[in-house]
Amino acid sequence: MGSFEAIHDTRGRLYRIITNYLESQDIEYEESNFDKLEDVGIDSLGMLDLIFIIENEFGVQTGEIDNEVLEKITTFDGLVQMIESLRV
Amino acid sequence: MSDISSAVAITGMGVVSPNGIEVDQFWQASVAGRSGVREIDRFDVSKFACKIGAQVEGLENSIYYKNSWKSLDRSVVMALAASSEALAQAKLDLEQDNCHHYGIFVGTGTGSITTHEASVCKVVAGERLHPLSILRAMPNSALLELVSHCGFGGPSATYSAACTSSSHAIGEAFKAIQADRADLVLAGGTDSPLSPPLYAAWSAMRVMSNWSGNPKSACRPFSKDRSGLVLGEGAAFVVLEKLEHARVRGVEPLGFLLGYASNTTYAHPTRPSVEPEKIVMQAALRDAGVDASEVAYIYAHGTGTKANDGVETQAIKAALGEANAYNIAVSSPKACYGHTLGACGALGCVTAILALRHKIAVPTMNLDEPDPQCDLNYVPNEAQPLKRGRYALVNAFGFGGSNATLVVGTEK
Repeated sequence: MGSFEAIHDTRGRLYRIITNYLESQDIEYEESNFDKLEDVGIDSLGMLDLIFIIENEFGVQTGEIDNEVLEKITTFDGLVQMIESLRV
Repeated sequence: MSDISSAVAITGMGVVSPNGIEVDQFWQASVAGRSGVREIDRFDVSKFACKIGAQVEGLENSIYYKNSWKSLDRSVVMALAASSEALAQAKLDLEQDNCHHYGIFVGTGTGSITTHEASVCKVVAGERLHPLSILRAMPNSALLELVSHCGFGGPSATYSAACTSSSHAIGEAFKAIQADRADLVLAGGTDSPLSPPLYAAWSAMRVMSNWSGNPKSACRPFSKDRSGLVLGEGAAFVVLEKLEHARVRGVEPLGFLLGYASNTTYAHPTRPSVEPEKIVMQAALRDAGVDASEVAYIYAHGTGTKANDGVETQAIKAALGEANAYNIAVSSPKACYGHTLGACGALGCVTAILALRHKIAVPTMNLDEPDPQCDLNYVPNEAQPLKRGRYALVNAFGFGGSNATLVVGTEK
Protein backbone atom coordinates (compact mmCIF):
# COMPACT_ATOMS: atom_id res chain seq x y z
CA MET A 1 0.00 0.00 0.00
CA GLY A 2 1.33 3.45 -0.83
CA SER A 3 1.72 6.42 1.49
CA PHE A 4 -1.23 8.37 2.84
CA GLU A 5 -0.52 11.10 0.28
CA ALA A 6 -0.36 8.58 -2.59
CA ILE A 7 -3.65 6.97 -1.58
CA HIS A 8 -5.25 10.38 -1.19
CA ASP A 9 -4.08 11.24 -4.70
CA THR A 10 -5.41 7.93 -6.05
CA ARG A 11 -8.80 8.51 -4.43
CA GLY A 12 -9.03 12.00 -5.93
CA ARG A 13 -8.10 10.87 -9.42
CA LEU A 14 -10.41 7.84 -9.23
CA TYR A 15 -13.28 10.03 -8.02
CA ARG A 16 -12.83 12.29 -11.05
CA ILE A 17 -12.64 9.31 -13.41
CA ILE A 18 -15.85 7.81 -12.04
CA THR A 19 -17.80 11.06 -12.00
CA ASN A 20 -16.63 11.89 -15.54
CA TYR A 21 -17.63 8.40 -16.62
CA LEU A 22 -21.09 8.65 -15.05
CA GLU A 23 -21.66 12.05 -16.62
CA SER A 24 -20.54 10.80 -20.05
CA GLN A 25 -23.09 8.00 -19.74
CA ASP A 26 -25.85 10.37 -18.61
CA ILE A 27 -26.12 8.45 -15.31
CA GLU A 28 -27.46 10.45 -12.40
CA TYR A 29 -25.65 9.68 -9.17
CA GLU A 30 -25.40 10.56 -5.51
CA GLU A 31 -21.91 12.02 -5.00
CA SER A 32 -21.53 10.37 -1.64
CA ASN A 33 -22.75 6.94 -2.70
CA PHE A 34 -19.90 5.10 -4.36
CA ASP A 35 -19.95 2.29 -1.81
CA LYS A 36 -21.67 0.00 -4.25
CA LEU A 37 -21.08 0.99 -7.83
CA GLU A 38 -23.79 -1.30 -9.23
CA ASP A 39 -26.32 0.72 -7.25
CA VAL A 40 -24.98 3.92 -8.78
CA GLY A 41 -25.70 2.51 -12.22
CA ILE A 42 -22.41 0.91 -13.27
CA ASP A 43 -23.25 -2.62 -14.37
CA SER A 44 -20.83 -5.44 -15.25
CA LEU A 45 -20.17 -4.07 -18.77
CA GLY A 46 -19.77 -0.59 -17.30
CA MET A 47 -17.18 -1.95 -14.86
CA LEU A 48 -15.21 -3.44 -17.77
CA ASP A 49 -15.30 -0.05 -19.47
CA LEU A 50 -14.34 1.76 -16.26
CA ILE A 51 -11.46 -0.59 -15.43
CA PHE A 52 -10.08 -0.08 -18.94
CA ILE A 53 -10.06 3.67 -18.33
CA ILE A 54 -8.45 3.18 -14.90
CA GLU A 55 -5.73 0.97 -16.40
CA ASN A 56 -4.86 3.64 -18.93
CA GLU A 57 -5.06 6.49 -16.45
CA PHE A 58 -2.94 4.86 -13.73
CA GLY A 59 -0.66 2.82 -15.99
CA VAL A 60 -1.64 -0.47 -14.33
CA GLN A 61 -2.68 -3.82 -15.80
CA THR A 62 -5.42 -6.06 -14.40
CA GLY A 63 -4.62 -8.89 -16.80
CA GLU A 64 -3.18 -11.13 -14.10
CA ILE A 65 -6.06 -10.63 -11.67
CA ASP A 66 -8.36 -13.64 -11.72
CA ASN A 67 -11.82 -12.93 -13.17
CA GLU A 68 -13.56 -14.06 -9.98
CA VAL A 69 -11.46 -11.65 -7.92
CA LEU A 70 -11.99 -8.81 -10.39
CA GLU A 71 -15.77 -9.32 -10.41
CA LYS A 72 -15.85 -8.83 -6.64
CA ILE A 73 -14.31 -5.37 -6.93
CA THR A 74 -17.51 -3.38 -7.01
CA THR A 75 -16.85 -0.49 -4.63
CA PHE A 76 -14.88 2.72 -4.74
CA ASP A 77 -12.56 1.52 -1.99
CA GLY A 78 -12.15 -1.80 -3.75
CA LEU A 79 -10.95 0.00 -6.88
CA VAL A 80 -8.51 2.09 -4.83
CA GLN A 81 -7.07 -1.04 -3.24
CA MET A 82 -6.80 -2.72 -6.65
CA ILE A 83 -4.90 0.24 -8.10
CA GLU A 84 -2.54 0.42 -5.13
CA SER A 85 -1.87 -3.34 -5.18
CA LEU A 86 -1.04 -3.24 -8.90
CA ARG A 87 1.31 -0.32 -8.43
CA VAL A 88 3.49 -2.19 -5.93
CA MET B 1 -55.97 -3.65 -50.73
CA SER B 2 -55.36 -4.30 -47.06
CA ASP B 3 -58.28 -3.97 -44.66
CA ILE B 4 -58.10 -1.94 -41.49
CA SER B 5 -57.19 -4.87 -39.29
CA SER B 6 -54.05 -5.64 -41.31
CA ALA B 7 -53.14 -2.09 -42.40
CA VAL B 8 -49.62 -1.09 -41.38
CA ALA B 9 -49.21 2.62 -40.76
CA ILE B 10 -46.01 4.65 -40.82
CA THR B 11 -46.18 7.01 -37.87
CA GLY B 12 -42.63 8.28 -37.56
CA MET B 13 -39.64 8.90 -39.80
CA GLY B 14 -36.05 9.93 -39.15
CA VAL B 15 -33.11 10.63 -41.44
CA VAL B 16 -29.40 11.26 -41.29
CA SER B 17 -28.06 11.86 -44.78
CA PRO B 18 -25.20 13.68 -46.51
CA ASN B 19 -27.62 16.32 -47.81
CA GLY B 20 -29.54 16.86 -44.60
CA ILE B 21 -29.91 15.69 -41.03
CA GLU B 22 -33.53 15.31 -39.95
CA VAL B 23 -36.43 14.72 -42.30
CA ASP B 24 -37.31 18.35 -43.10
CA GLN B 25 -33.78 19.29 -44.13
CA PHE B 26 -33.39 16.07 -46.09
CA TRP B 27 -36.65 16.65 -47.96
CA GLN B 28 -35.94 20.29 -48.77
CA ALA B 29 -32.46 19.39 -50.04
CA SER B 30 -33.80 16.48 -52.08
CA VAL B 31 -36.50 18.61 -53.71
CA ALA B 32 -34.00 21.39 -54.48
CA GLY B 33 -31.42 18.91 -55.75
CA ARG B 34 -28.80 20.07 -53.25
CA SER B 35 -25.84 17.74 -53.22
CA GLY B 36 -23.92 16.37 -50.27
CA VAL B 37 -21.25 14.88 -52.53
CA ARG B 38 -17.75 16.33 -52.18
CA GLU B 39 -14.09 15.36 -52.06
CA ILE B 40 -13.48 13.13 -49.09
CA ASP B 41 -11.53 14.85 -46.33
CA ARG B 42 -11.88 12.26 -43.58
CA PHE B 43 -8.92 10.23 -44.84
CA ASP B 44 -6.23 10.37 -47.52
CA VAL B 45 -7.73 9.60 -50.92
CA SER B 46 -4.75 10.69 -53.00
CA LYS B 47 -3.98 7.11 -54.09
CA PHE B 48 -7.48 6.38 -55.33
CA ALA B 49 -8.84 7.07 -58.81
CA CYS B 50 -12.12 8.22 -57.26
CA LYS B 51 -11.64 10.79 -54.51
CA ILE B 52 -15.21 11.72 -53.74
CA GLY B 53 -17.96 10.55 -51.47
CA ALA B 54 -21.04 11.72 -49.64
CA GLN B 55 -20.15 12.32 -46.01
CA VAL B 56 -22.61 13.26 -43.28
CA GLU B 57 -21.56 16.62 -41.88
CA GLY B 58 -22.67 18.24 -38.65
CA LEU B 59 -23.89 15.13 -36.86
CA GLU B 60 -22.20 16.38 -33.69
CA ASN B 61 -24.51 19.41 -33.77
CA SER B 62 -27.66 17.31 -34.02
CA ILE B 63 -29.95 17.55 -31.03
CA TYR B 64 -29.89 13.75 -30.94
CA TYR B 65 -26.12 13.57 -30.57
CA LYS B 66 -24.69 12.82 -27.17
CA ASN B 67 -21.05 12.88 -26.10
CA SER B 68 -21.33 9.34 -24.81
CA TRP B 69 -21.89 8.14 -28.37
CA LYS B 70 -18.44 9.24 -29.51
CA SER B 71 -17.00 5.80 -28.80
CA LEU B 72 -19.55 4.12 -31.08
CA ASP B 73 -19.24 3.39 -34.78
CA ARG B 74 -20.55 6.16 -37.04
CA SER B 75 -23.15 3.78 -38.42
CA VAL B 76 -24.48 3.26 -34.89
CA VAL B 77 -24.50 6.97 -34.07
CA MET B 78 -26.42 7.69 -37.27
CA ALA B 79 -28.89 4.89 -36.48
CA LEU B 80 -29.48 6.32 -33.01
CA ALA B 81 -29.99 9.84 -34.36
CA ALA B 82 -32.38 8.79 -37.14
CA SER B 83 -34.30 6.49 -34.79
CA SER B 84 -34.63 9.17 -32.13
CA GLU B 85 -36.25 11.49 -34.66
CA ALA B 86 -38.61 8.75 -35.87
CA LEU B 87 -39.63 7.75 -32.33
CA ALA B 88 -40.23 11.38 -31.38
CA GLN B 89 -42.46 11.94 -34.41
CA ALA B 90 -44.39 8.78 -33.57
CA LYS B 91 -44.93 10.23 -30.09
CA LEU B 92 -43.68 7.12 -28.38
CA ASP B 93 -43.19 7.42 -24.64
CA LEU B 94 -40.41 4.96 -23.95
CA GLU B 95 -40.98 5.31 -20.20
CA GLN B 96 -44.73 4.76 -20.26
CA ASP B 97 -45.65 2.65 -23.28
CA ASN B 98 -45.90 -1.11 -22.96
CA CYS B 99 -42.96 -2.03 -25.18
CA HIS B 100 -43.03 -5.82 -24.74
CA HIS B 101 -44.71 -6.27 -28.12
CA TYR B 102 -42.57 -3.68 -29.95
CA GLY B 103 -39.71 -4.78 -32.19
CA ILE B 104 -36.60 -3.41 -33.91
CA PHE B 105 -35.39 -4.49 -37.35
CA VAL B 106 -32.15 -3.00 -38.68
CA GLY B 107 -30.59 -3.30 -42.12
CA THR B 108 -26.91 -2.69 -42.71
CA GLY B 109 -24.55 -3.70 -45.47
CA THR B 110 -21.26 -3.20 -43.68
CA GLY B 111 -22.27 -2.88 -40.01
CA SER B 112 -19.64 -1.43 -37.71
CA ILE B 113 -16.81 -2.38 -40.03
CA THR B 114 -15.00 0.93 -39.44
CA THR B 115 -14.70 0.11 -35.75
CA HIS B 116 -13.49 -3.39 -36.57
CA GLU B 117 -10.88 -1.97 -38.95
CA ALA B 118 -9.65 0.35 -36.18
CA SER B 119 -9.35 -2.65 -33.85
CA VAL B 120 -7.31 -4.53 -36.43
CA CYS B 121 -4.95 -1.56 -36.75
CA LYS B 122 -4.51 -1.47 -32.95
CA VAL B 123 -3.73 -5.18 -32.79
CA VAL B 124 -1.19 -4.85 -35.61
CA ALA B 125 0.39 -1.93 -33.74
CA GLY B 126 0.55 -3.99 -30.54
CA GLU B 127 -2.02 -1.88 -28.68
CA ARG B 128 -4.66 -3.19 -26.30
CA LEU B 129 -8.27 -3.40 -27.35
CA HIS B 130 -11.11 -1.92 -25.36
CA PRO B 131 -13.04 -4.64 -23.48
CA LEU B 132 -16.25 -3.70 -25.28
CA SER B 133 -14.67 -3.93 -28.74
CA ILE B 134 -16.80 -6.93 -29.69
CA LEU B 135 -20.05 -5.17 -28.80
CA ARG B 136 -18.98 -2.07 -30.70
CA ALA B 137 -17.80 -3.89 -33.83
CA MET B 138 -20.20 -6.76 -34.34
CA PRO B 139 -22.56 -6.51 -37.34
CA ASN B 140 -25.60 -6.02 -35.10
CA SER B 141 -24.05 -3.30 -32.93
CA ALA B 142 -26.62 -0.74 -34.11
CA LEU B 143 -29.42 -3.06 -33.05
CA LEU B 144 -27.74 -3.58 -29.66
CA GLU B 145 -27.64 0.16 -28.99
CA LEU B 146 -31.20 0.70 -30.26
CA VAL B 147 -32.55 -2.08 -28.05
CA SER B 148 -30.72 -0.59 -25.09
CA HIS B 149 -32.04 2.90 -25.94
CA CYS B 150 -35.65 1.89 -26.62
CA GLY B 151 -36.21 -1.00 -24.25
CA PHE B 152 -38.35 -2.86 -26.77
CA GLY B 153 -38.96 -6.51 -25.88
CA GLY B 154 -40.54 -7.79 -29.09
CA PRO B 155 -38.83 -9.38 -32.08
CA SER B 156 -35.53 -7.95 -33.25
CA ALA B 157 -33.14 -8.77 -36.07
CA THR B 158 -30.35 -7.39 -38.22
CA TYR B 159 -30.54 -7.91 -41.97
CA SER B 160 -27.38 -7.73 -44.05
CA ALA B 161 -27.98 -8.10 -47.77
CA ALA B 162 -25.81 -5.35 -49.26
CA CYS B 163 -27.90 -2.59 -50.83
CA THR B 164 -31.25 -4.22 -50.03
CA SER B 165 -30.58 -4.54 -46.28
CA SER B 166 -32.92 -1.85 -45.04
CA SER B 167 -35.63 -2.74 -47.56
CA HIS B 168 -35.60 -6.23 -46.06
CA ALA B 169 -35.62 -4.80 -42.52
CA ILE B 170 -38.66 -2.65 -43.30
CA GLY B 171 -40.39 -5.33 -45.36
CA GLU B 172 -39.87 -8.04 -42.76
CA ALA B 173 -41.07 -5.68 -40.04
CA PHE B 174 -44.21 -5.14 -42.12
CA LYS B 175 -44.70 -8.91 -42.31
CA ALA B 176 -44.08 -9.32 -38.58
CA ILE B 177 -46.81 -6.78 -37.80
CA GLN B 178 -49.21 -8.38 -40.27
CA ALA B 179 -48.54 -11.77 -38.65
CA ASP B 180 -49.31 -10.25 -35.22
CA ARG B 181 -45.78 -10.93 -33.99
CA ALA B 182 -45.47 -7.25 -33.07
CA ASP B 183 -47.76 -4.25 -32.58
CA LEU B 184 -45.08 -1.77 -33.57
CA VAL B 185 -41.61 -2.02 -35.09
CA LEU B 186 -38.82 0.51 -35.47
CA ALA B 187 -37.26 -0.43 -38.81
CA GLY B 188 -34.66 1.03 -41.11
CA GLY B 189 -31.05 0.93 -42.04
CA THR B 190 -27.65 2.47 -41.54
CA ASP B 191 -24.27 2.30 -43.22
CA SER B 192 -21.01 4.19 -43.01
CA PRO B 193 -18.71 2.70 -45.64
CA LEU B 194 -16.31 5.65 -45.87
CA SER B 195 -13.17 4.14 -44.37
CA PRO B 196 -9.82 3.67 -46.13
CA PRO B 197 -9.88 -0.16 -46.41
CA LEU B 198 -13.49 -0.29 -47.56
CA TYR B 199 -13.04 2.60 -49.95
CA ALA B 200 -9.97 0.84 -51.38
CA ALA B 201 -12.01 -2.33 -51.86
CA TRP B 202 -14.77 -0.48 -53.72
CA SER B 203 -12.16 1.32 -55.77
CA ALA B 204 -10.54 -1.98 -56.72
CA MET B 205 -13.90 -3.25 -57.96
CA ARG B 206 -14.01 -0.38 -60.49
CA VAL B 207 -17.65 0.47 -59.89
CA MET B 208 -17.10 3.99 -58.56
CA SER B 209 -17.53 7.12 -60.63
CA ASN B 210 -14.43 8.30 -62.50
CA TRP B 211 -15.82 11.83 -62.90
CA SER B 212 -12.99 14.35 -62.74
CA GLY B 213 -15.01 17.56 -62.66
CA ASN B 214 -17.12 19.06 -59.88
CA PRO B 215 -17.76 16.30 -57.31
CA LYS B 216 -21.43 17.30 -57.12
CA SER B 217 -21.80 16.15 -60.74
CA ALA B 218 -20.07 12.80 -60.26
CA CYS B 219 -23.12 10.60 -59.68
CA ARG B 220 -25.14 10.67 -62.92
CA PRO B 221 -28.01 8.15 -62.79
CA PHE B 222 -29.57 7.25 -66.16
CA SER B 223 -27.18 9.64 -67.93
CA LYS B 224 -25.38 8.70 -71.13
CA ASP B 225 -22.04 9.59 -69.57
CA ARG B 226 -22.57 7.93 -66.20
CA SER B 227 -19.47 6.08 -65.03
CA GLY B 228 -20.28 4.64 -61.65
CA LEU B 229 -21.60 5.13 -58.15
CA VAL B 230 -20.53 7.51 -55.42
CA LEU B 231 -20.26 5.97 -51.96
CA GLY B 232 -22.29 7.67 -49.28
CA GLU B 233 -23.16 7.19 -45.63
CA GLY B 234 -26.46 7.66 -43.90
CA ALA B 235 -29.34 6.19 -41.94
CA ALA B 236 -33.11 6.26 -42.07
CA PHE B 237 -35.70 4.70 -39.80
CA VAL B 238 -39.47 4.49 -39.78
CA VAL B 239 -41.93 3.54 -37.07
CA LEU B 240 -44.39 0.96 -38.38
CA GLU B 241 -47.46 -0.06 -36.44
CA LYS B 242 -50.90 -1.52 -36.85
CA LEU B 243 -53.31 1.21 -37.85
CA GLU B 244 -55.58 0.28 -34.96
CA HIS B 245 -52.65 0.53 -32.57
CA ALA B 246 -51.80 4.01 -33.88
CA ARG B 247 -55.41 5.09 -33.47
CA VAL B 248 -55.53 3.88 -29.87
CA ARG B 249 -52.36 5.89 -29.22
CA GLY B 250 -53.93 8.90 -30.91
CA VAL B 251 -51.27 9.16 -33.60
CA GLU B 252 -52.06 10.11 -37.19
CA PRO B 253 -50.39 7.97 -39.89
CA LEU B 254 -47.95 9.70 -42.23
CA GLY B 255 -48.59 6.97 -44.76
CA PHE B 256 -48.88 3.22 -45.14
CA LEU B 257 -46.60 0.37 -46.03
CA LEU B 258 -48.72 -1.72 -48.33
CA GLY B 259 -46.54 -4.32 -49.96
CA TYR B 260 -43.15 -5.97 -49.95
CA ALA B 261 -41.46 -8.64 -52.01
CA SER B 262 -37.95 -10.00 -52.35
CA ASN B 263 -36.19 -12.44 -54.63
CA THR B 264 -32.73 -13.30 -55.89
CA THR B 265 -30.82 -12.90 -59.11
CA TYR B 266 -28.91 -16.15 -58.96
CA ALA B 267 -27.18 -16.02 -62.35
CA HIS B 268 -24.46 -13.58 -61.33
CA PRO B 269 -23.41 -12.02 -57.99
CA THR B 270 -23.16 -8.45 -59.26
CA ARG B 271 -24.70 -8.24 -62.74
CA PRO B 272 -28.36 -7.19 -62.57
CA SER B 273 -30.99 -8.93 -64.64
CA VAL B 274 -34.33 -7.68 -65.99
CA GLU B 275 -36.48 -10.72 -65.25
CA PRO B 276 -35.94 -11.03 -61.47
CA GLU B 277 -36.27 -7.25 -61.04
CA LYS B 278 -39.53 -7.34 -63.01
CA ILE B 279 -40.78 -10.24 -60.91
CA VAL B 280 -39.98 -8.59 -57.58
CA MET B 281 -41.80 -5.36 -58.54
CA GLN B 282 -44.85 -7.28 -59.73
CA ALA B 283 -44.86 -9.42 -56.59
CA ALA B 284 -44.72 -6.33 -54.36
CA LEU B 285 -47.64 -4.76 -56.25
CA ARG B 286 -49.63 -7.99 -55.84
CA ASP B 287 -48.79 -8.07 -52.14
CA ALA B 288 -50.11 -4.54 -51.85
CA GLY B 289 -53.17 -5.16 -53.99
CA VAL B 290 -52.16 -2.13 -56.08
CA ASP B 291 -52.60 -1.93 -59.85
CA ALA B 292 -49.70 -0.59 -61.90
CA SER B 293 -51.95 2.18 -63.23
CA GLU B 294 -52.20 3.58 -59.68
CA VAL B 295 -48.44 4.06 -59.24
CA ALA B 296 -47.38 7.70 -59.14
CA TYR B 297 -43.71 7.46 -58.31
CA ILE B 298 -40.81 5.03 -58.30
CA TYR B 299 -37.78 5.61 -56.11
CA ALA B 300 -35.32 3.88 -58.40
CA HIS B 301 -32.27 2.01 -57.26
CA GLY B 302 -30.57 4.25 -59.87
CA THR B 303 -26.97 3.92 -58.73
CA GLY B 304 -25.42 5.59 -61.76
CA THR B 305 -23.50 2.46 -62.73
CA LYS B 306 -23.44 1.31 -66.34
CA ALA B 307 -24.96 -2.01 -65.35
CA ASN B 308 -27.84 -0.94 -63.12
CA ASP B 309 -29.69 1.90 -64.76
CA GLY B 310 -30.49 0.38 -68.15
CA VAL B 311 -31.57 -2.94 -66.65
CA GLU B 312 -33.75 -1.23 -64.05
CA THR B 313 -35.40 0.83 -66.81
CA GLN B 314 -36.23 -2.31 -68.80
CA ALA B 315 -37.48 -4.04 -65.66
CA ILE B 316 -39.81 -1.14 -64.78
CA LYS B 317 -41.31 -1.26 -68.28
CA ALA B 318 -41.71 -5.02 -68.12
CA ALA B 319 -43.20 -4.99 -64.63
CA LEU B 320 -45.68 -2.15 -64.97
CA GLY B 321 -46.28 -2.15 -68.73
CA GLU B 322 -44.81 0.45 -71.06
CA ALA B 323 -47.96 2.58 -71.09
CA ASN B 324 -47.80 2.95 -67.31
CA ALA B 325 -44.01 3.20 -67.14
CA TYR B 326 -43.86 6.25 -69.40
CA ASN B 327 -46.41 8.04 -67.20
CA ILE B 328 -44.72 7.40 -63.87
CA ALA B 329 -42.17 9.75 -62.31
CA VAL B 330 -39.01 7.71 -61.70
CA SER B 331 -36.08 9.30 -59.92
CA SER B 332 -32.79 8.60 -58.23
CA PRO B 333 -31.82 11.13 -55.56
CA LYS B 334 -28.60 9.13 -55.09
CA ALA B 335 -27.10 11.79 -57.39
CA CYS B 336 -27.29 14.08 -54.34
CA TYR B 337 -26.31 11.78 -51.47
CA GLY B 338 -24.53 8.86 -53.05
CA HIS B 339 -25.14 5.20 -52.56
CA THR B 340 -25.66 4.62 -48.86
CA LEU B 341 -25.68 0.84 -49.35
CA GLY B 342 -27.71 -0.77 -46.56
CA ALA B 343 -29.51 2.49 -45.78
CA CYS B 344 -30.73 3.28 -49.29
CA GLY B 345 -34.02 1.39 -49.14
CA ALA B 346 -35.01 3.15 -45.94
CA LEU B 347 -34.06 6.56 -47.37
CA GLY B 348 -36.19 5.58 -50.36
CA CYS B 349 -39.13 4.68 -48.15
CA VAL B 350 -39.00 8.07 -46.43
CA THR B 351 -38.59 9.87 -49.76
CA ALA B 352 -41.52 8.02 -51.34
CA ILE B 353 -43.87 8.79 -48.45
CA LEU B 354 -42.89 12.48 -48.56
CA ALA B 355 -43.28 12.54 -52.36
CA LEU B 356 -46.84 11.24 -52.06
CA ARG B 357 -47.72 13.54 -49.16
CA HIS B 358 -46.39 16.63 -50.96
CA LYS B 359 -47.34 15.36 -54.45
CA ILE B 360 -43.81 16.19 -55.61
CA ALA B 361 -41.28 13.92 -57.31
CA VAL B 362 -37.72 14.73 -56.26
CA PRO B 363 -35.32 15.22 -59.18
CA THR B 364 -32.55 13.09 -60.61
CA MET B 365 -29.72 15.59 -60.75
CA ASN B 366 -26.89 15.62 -63.31
CA LEU B 367 -29.16 14.19 -65.99
CA ASP B 368 -28.33 16.38 -68.98
CA GLU B 369 -28.26 13.77 -71.73
CA PRO B 370 -30.07 10.51 -70.94
CA ASP B 371 -28.74 7.17 -72.05
CA PRO B 372 -30.88 6.19 -75.09
CA GLN B 373 -31.64 2.94 -73.23
CA CYS B 374 -33.01 5.00 -70.34
CA ASP B 375 -36.08 6.68 -71.79
CA LEU B 376 -38.50 7.05 -68.86
CA ASN B 377 -39.37 10.27 -67.04
CA TYR B 378 -36.52 10.44 -64.52
CA VAL B 379 -37.52 13.91 -63.31
CA PRO B 380 -34.33 15.44 -64.73
CA ASN B 381 -32.67 18.18 -62.68
CA GLU B 382 -35.87 19.74 -61.33
CA ALA B 383 -38.65 18.48 -59.08
CA GLN B 384 -41.99 17.78 -60.74
CA PRO B 385 -45.54 17.70 -59.41
CA LEU B 386 -47.03 14.23 -59.21
CA LYS B 387 -50.03 14.21 -61.49
CA ARG B 388 -51.36 10.68 -61.20
CA GLY B 389 -51.64 7.78 -58.84
CA ARG B 390 -51.62 7.34 -55.10
CA TYR B 391 -48.84 4.84 -54.56
CA ALA B 392 -45.08 4.55 -54.89
CA LEU B 393 -42.52 1.80 -55.34
CA VAL B 394 -39.12 1.73 -53.68
CA ASN B 395 -36.57 -0.41 -55.50
CA ALA B 396 -33.34 -1.79 -54.12
CA PHE B 397 -31.05 -4.28 -55.84
CA GLY B 398 -27.88 -5.53 -54.18
CA PHE B 399 -24.66 -7.41 -54.72
CA GLY B 400 -25.23 -11.06 -54.06
CA GLY B 401 -28.33 -10.88 -56.22
CA SER B 402 -30.71 -9.64 -53.53
CA ASN B 403 -33.70 -7.70 -54.87
CA ALA B 404 -36.43 -6.01 -52.83
CA THR B 405 -39.34 -3.70 -53.58
CA LEU B 406 -41.56 -1.87 -51.12
CA VAL B 407 -44.96 -0.38 -51.96
CA VAL B 408 -46.08 2.65 -49.97
CA GLY B 409 -49.09 4.93 -50.11
CA THR B 410 -50.81 7.72 -48.26
CA GLU B 411 -54.05 5.76 -48.35
CA LYS B 412 -54.77 2.20 -47.27
